[in-house]
Amino acid sequence: MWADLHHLFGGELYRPELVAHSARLLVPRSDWLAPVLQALGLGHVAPIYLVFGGYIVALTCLLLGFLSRPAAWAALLFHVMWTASGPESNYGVDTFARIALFICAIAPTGAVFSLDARRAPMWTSERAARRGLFLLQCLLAIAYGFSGYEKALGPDWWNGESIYRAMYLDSPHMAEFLTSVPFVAVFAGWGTLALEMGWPLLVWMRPTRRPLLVATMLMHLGILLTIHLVSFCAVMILLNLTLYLYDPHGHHQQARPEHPHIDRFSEPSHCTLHNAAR
Amino acid sequence: MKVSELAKRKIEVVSVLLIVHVALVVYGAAGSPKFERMGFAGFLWELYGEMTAASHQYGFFAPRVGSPTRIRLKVERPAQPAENFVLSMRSPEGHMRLGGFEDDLRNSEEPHTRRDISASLAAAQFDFVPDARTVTVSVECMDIPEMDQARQGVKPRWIQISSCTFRRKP
Repeated sequence: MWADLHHLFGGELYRPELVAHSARLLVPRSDWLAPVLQALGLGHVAPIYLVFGGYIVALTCLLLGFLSRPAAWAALLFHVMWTASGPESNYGVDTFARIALFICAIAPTGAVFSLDARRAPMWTSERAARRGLFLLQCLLAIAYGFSGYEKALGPDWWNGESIYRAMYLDSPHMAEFLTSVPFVAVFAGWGTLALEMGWPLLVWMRPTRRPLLVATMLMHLGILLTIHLVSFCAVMILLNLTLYLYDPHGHHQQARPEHPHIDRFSEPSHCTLHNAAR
Repeated sequence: MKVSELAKRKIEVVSVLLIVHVALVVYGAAGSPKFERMGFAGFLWELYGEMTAASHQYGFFAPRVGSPTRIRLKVERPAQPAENFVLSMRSPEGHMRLGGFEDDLRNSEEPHTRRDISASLAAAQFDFVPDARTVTVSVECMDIPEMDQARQGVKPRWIQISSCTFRRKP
């Protein structure tokens, strides 16, 4: 998206200030930096590239676990700034990215599997870590549940028309093929509804969790292959994998020295995080 | 109070805040009316919802998948033939995001939204083409036949759903 950044978020495609939205008045945007950068002799597209570049740097630090919490807050702020600079072009991937960044900012991120933990032992409450993970699991369940419910309100997902129409977005030849086998579209539509509406309940039950998650990731993979929502599907598959399917019991448990003034925990945080899903 | 008790109390407070956040997320996802009449408190909720995605909805492709849409621009300059083109992006992700823009134009329920978005597109063209005299923004939507109709040979076609012409102020 680097090549289109200035078009979509730098005011070259459209002028977002002409599309009224009251809350955007106080939501940080990249063009807030424009007066300062123009005074330094930089062009009008410099703000969006600076903000997006800062976003990439913050994400990299978060990925490596270097200054994890500040990096999470910085990534959240930069994400808000560049998406708010062109809100009409935002879509689902931005919603889930913001949710995940918000959780990373408020939860004890970086306690394990991070450069921060390697440099110096980090002490955090097991319960705080569990709550952060549980919150993100709840938010994902809310998203799937409402997504399925809103799809079920109309007839198109029940009769397969939505699957057929979705193919026209990027694969018209597939759409034409579906007209000859309409039962495939109907089956896919019913499967999508069952998966999404059942998700909030089935994911909390141990016997159904793994089949549900595998089916969910196959659904996202199917979306990726047919209508090529690459970023969105990658984020959703990653969320499903990391929140539920990661099994910490295969990892070596490190003994932690006791500290007299901090809550003690007998297991490393990455093991206790998984307990939130049981 | 011991340090461990302080830590426990802190976690309890945070737990309450997280429950409130989840409640706000459910409220936002349900498409509940905004707190427009609550003045500053409502304004803060809008801001918080935008910063944390708590006010976002999850009606992706719901209740139906929208039709492919494209934006056609016609830029007229003095003493030159009019330039007529369809907006497109260079990257696949850019193309995807342009689609979100097109969806807003196609699905806008408020009467002024489509005009405002068209005006913002025209304004950018007036900036990009300094001698442009008029810019016409047309929104075209693919009329997709139902599966039964498609089996009978009906083909999809592009139809224009709106057109706005903007003239540069002298």
